[in-house]
Amino acid sequence: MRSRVPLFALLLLVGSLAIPVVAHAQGIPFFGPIIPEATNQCAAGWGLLITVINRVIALLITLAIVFVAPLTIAWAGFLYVVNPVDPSGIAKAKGILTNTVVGIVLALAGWMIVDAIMAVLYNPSKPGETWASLIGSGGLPPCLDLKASLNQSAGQANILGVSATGGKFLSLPTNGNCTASNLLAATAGSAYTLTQSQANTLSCIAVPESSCGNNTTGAKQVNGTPTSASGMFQIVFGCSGCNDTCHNLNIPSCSQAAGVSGNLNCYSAFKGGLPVPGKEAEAAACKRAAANLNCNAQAAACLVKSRPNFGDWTGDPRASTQKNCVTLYANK
Amino acid sequence: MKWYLIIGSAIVVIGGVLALLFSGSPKEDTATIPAPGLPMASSTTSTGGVSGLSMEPTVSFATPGGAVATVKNFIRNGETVPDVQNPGSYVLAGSVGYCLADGTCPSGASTTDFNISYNEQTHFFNIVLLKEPLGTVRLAAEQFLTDRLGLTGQEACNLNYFVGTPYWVNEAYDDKNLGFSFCPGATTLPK
Repeated sequence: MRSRVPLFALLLLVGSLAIPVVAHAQGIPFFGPIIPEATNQCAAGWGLLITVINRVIALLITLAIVFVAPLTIAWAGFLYVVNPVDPSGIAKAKGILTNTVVGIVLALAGWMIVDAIMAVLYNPSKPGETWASLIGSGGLPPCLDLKASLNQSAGQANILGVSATGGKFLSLPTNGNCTASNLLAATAGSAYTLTQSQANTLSCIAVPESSCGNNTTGAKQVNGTPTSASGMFQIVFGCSGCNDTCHNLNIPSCSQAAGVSGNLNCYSAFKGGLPVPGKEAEAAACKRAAANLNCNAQAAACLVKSRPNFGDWTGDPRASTQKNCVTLYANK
Repeated sequence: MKWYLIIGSAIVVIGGVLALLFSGSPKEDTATIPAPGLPMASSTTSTGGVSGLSMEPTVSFATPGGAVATVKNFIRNGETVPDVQNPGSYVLAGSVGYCLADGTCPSGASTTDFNISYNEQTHFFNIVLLKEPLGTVRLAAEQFLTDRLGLTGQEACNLNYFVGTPYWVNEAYDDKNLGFSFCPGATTLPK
């Protein structure tokens, strides 16, 4: 029996060193927040519920390791010191120490086992991942589907042909190129000034459209075909129904940005998302203009003036975030 | 159970806990600490706009935390190009998205995976992920930016930046600042 003691000690040593490392990969120590900040404005769905449960467990384990265990171990040590000859005191200290060590090991091991099993059940194709890391990317939406409320509050008839899934709600950008104040400044003094609520809505829409980038290009349609969408608000050229002042960029600031005199007439320079052969120079002028913040913002404001429901950014079936932006900010 | 075994185990567990606490990634609350790890410029260095037109090996600018970051001159590195359509903006990586009247099409570092631009008025870095898998592309963009600026990951967390992806790349992640993967609060992305 005595010969097994070193082996047991070695196993305990290895296990004690390994468990914290494994636990660390799963988000321990964890000090909050319990509710993910990105979802604190939406109605919780199953994904968020599971995430919150995970975080509560991680927080409890963290508290046990960081606060409770050191105190009990210190108390056990104190009992040892003050009871050098008292067998009952020493036995009590031993008991506390044993329970503490066993408790920590069991808690961490238990969490590790549960996490491993849940990870396999949740997504068997990713055996190396932990449950906690899979929740956010495995497809369980954190927020409830808000299709009905979106359709009602967009201030229009039901949005047909689109799925308002996702349930994402955005905070307005506070820095970068697409802040509402930047958009107000970019359109001030033009024929297409924005109200504060329109600026807020467009600021919100710019996040999913272009990640607030002036230079964002390369958009593709749902079927994978390229589009001419350019700039912060992904203004498209040459599309069906796009032969209007706004899409043509027939706006003074756009001509100025492109370095041309007169109207740009971008509709005729593009077809099928690509420059019309023989009109490459005109197409390049349109792309140049669209990359300019003032031009792009004024073209977007022009579109809002024509269609105040922001329908130019909500027609795509993938545009759930844009629809949420309209819901949140258009009529405020 | 022998007493020395219990004490030994306790020491090992405490050691593990301490290692757990001090060897990991920074905690979330470090985001509110004003630029703790950024290389600090001397007090005489201007904190105004980046002196990108100079050929100095480093440039300095203010961070959101109020500190002054001194980084490699990423504007005059032979790779970054000015965004002439938006004065004060520069493109570090990817296309500027247009061609000039003379037919040339400026581009920062050659890549179609991401686009990185910088605004010297606001000292703002905009990183747009343009391809899947987003996790891998974000890592590449992070590597690029930290390399060009000469910053560590923790130092980069103090920059004024936005990492995003448009809805036509991935509609599930198009609604927020995804953050740098090594920064507190970053969104976990599929790789």
